[in-house]
Amino acid sequence: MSVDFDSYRQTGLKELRSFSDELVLALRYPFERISRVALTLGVGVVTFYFLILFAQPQGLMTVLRNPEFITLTWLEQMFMINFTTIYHESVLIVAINGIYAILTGVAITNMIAQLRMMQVGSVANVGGILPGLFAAGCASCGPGLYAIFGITGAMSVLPFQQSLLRFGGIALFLVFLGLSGDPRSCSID
Amino acid sequence: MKFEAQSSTRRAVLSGTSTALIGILAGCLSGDTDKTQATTDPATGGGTGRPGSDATTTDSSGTYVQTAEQTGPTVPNDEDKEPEEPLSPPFRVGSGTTGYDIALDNNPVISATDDPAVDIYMWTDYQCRFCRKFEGNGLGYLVANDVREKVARIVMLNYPHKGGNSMTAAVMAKCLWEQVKDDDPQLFWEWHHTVFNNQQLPEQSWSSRSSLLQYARNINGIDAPSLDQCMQANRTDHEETIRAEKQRGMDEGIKETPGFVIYHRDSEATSPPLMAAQPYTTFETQIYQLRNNA
Repeated sequence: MSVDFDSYRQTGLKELRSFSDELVLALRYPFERISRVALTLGVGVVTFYFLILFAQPQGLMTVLRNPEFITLTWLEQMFMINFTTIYHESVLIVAINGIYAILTGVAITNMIAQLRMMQVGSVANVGGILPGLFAAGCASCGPGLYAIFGITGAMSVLPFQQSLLRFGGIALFLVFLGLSGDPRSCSID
Repeated sequence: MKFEAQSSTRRAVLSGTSTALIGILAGCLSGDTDKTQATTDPATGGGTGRPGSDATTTDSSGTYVQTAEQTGPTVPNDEDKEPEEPLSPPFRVGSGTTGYDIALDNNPVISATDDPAVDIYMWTDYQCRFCRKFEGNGLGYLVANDVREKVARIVMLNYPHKGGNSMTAAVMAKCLWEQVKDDDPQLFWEWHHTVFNNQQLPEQSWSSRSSLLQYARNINGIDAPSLDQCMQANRTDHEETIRAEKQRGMDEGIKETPGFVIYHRDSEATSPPLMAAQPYTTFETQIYQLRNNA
């Protein structure tokens, strides 16, 4: 009995160590070269901007239905209105958005690296990558979609002002990055 | 060297799926929520330009006239008046029904004239964080530039959707407006402003009935016992009125607060539903379009 337990424990610890090693590699890769850092931060900044802009999804829908409202001034002012509102509510939420944005940058950079190393002709490979590219490109379209489908009300009853889901999202991001590991390791034996 | 197709595929699927899943979850990162659905989306005209710019002037009737090539609005800018600090909008007691079919008798109206060119119907919820934000931003610009200039009036309507305390606050607002509208309508603004200033997360003690009453007690001139009595005696009637107000907003396509519809009285043209704490530039563009397409 105890032998089995020790065996399971050893296996579990080994898996955990392997996972954490892979996660470190996945997180390290985008910061090893200036070009990768630029790409990661660039994607991160764009993601952060859209995350904040989508804080009022129906506000965005309003101007998308009436494109004459969209100006650089509007984009700047809407961002500031949303940012200051969220900041006033909780600095932590701003920080979570920032972390999420950077993780999106990491995922995109790693994905591009994998794309460059893989046989793109493989349907399975592309099928695995495209959803990620789509989702990351529209990383915060969730509220807008929820609003369209009228299910945002359900989210409002979630505890901690949806903070639980925010943390969950970041945790899930880290899990999958850890499972993916170093993007270079899969192409060359 | 050997390409490990299987491993590669697995990693790609993992990576792609992960980002897709997180992308969906990201929707929760900064979303404000709403519990309603609605339908219509009235069309609008398509003119551009901004009132008061170099490219425009006004004729004798006060209508904006294009005089040169116009560009898209870039407001607030130097030509727009800054919001008052602290904001103290002028109130008028309305009567009858507007051309947009909204009864004015029981609703606070921010106006400096009885005959503005434009009505702005504003649906809010006292527990909505972006409604509070709008009070400190866009509303100030609207009052300084359009209400004070007698171009527009703002009709304040209720759209409680953040929980039970939202309805309680809306009912108290109705009771308070009834009490103070004839003698000192500014008392309503003081209470209204105080409620937003005390805003925290929805459904917490700051928005309870006792807290809302306490804000009233702290303002000289408000008869808090009478307000309490109104809450007990007239709550059902006021709730019915408020539900009708909200339903009207939903019928117009308002799905999120703050929500707005701008109505041009001469042409009877309306804007599309404007939702969220929009910057002043959105209102200025729409008001200008409605007035020039009339």
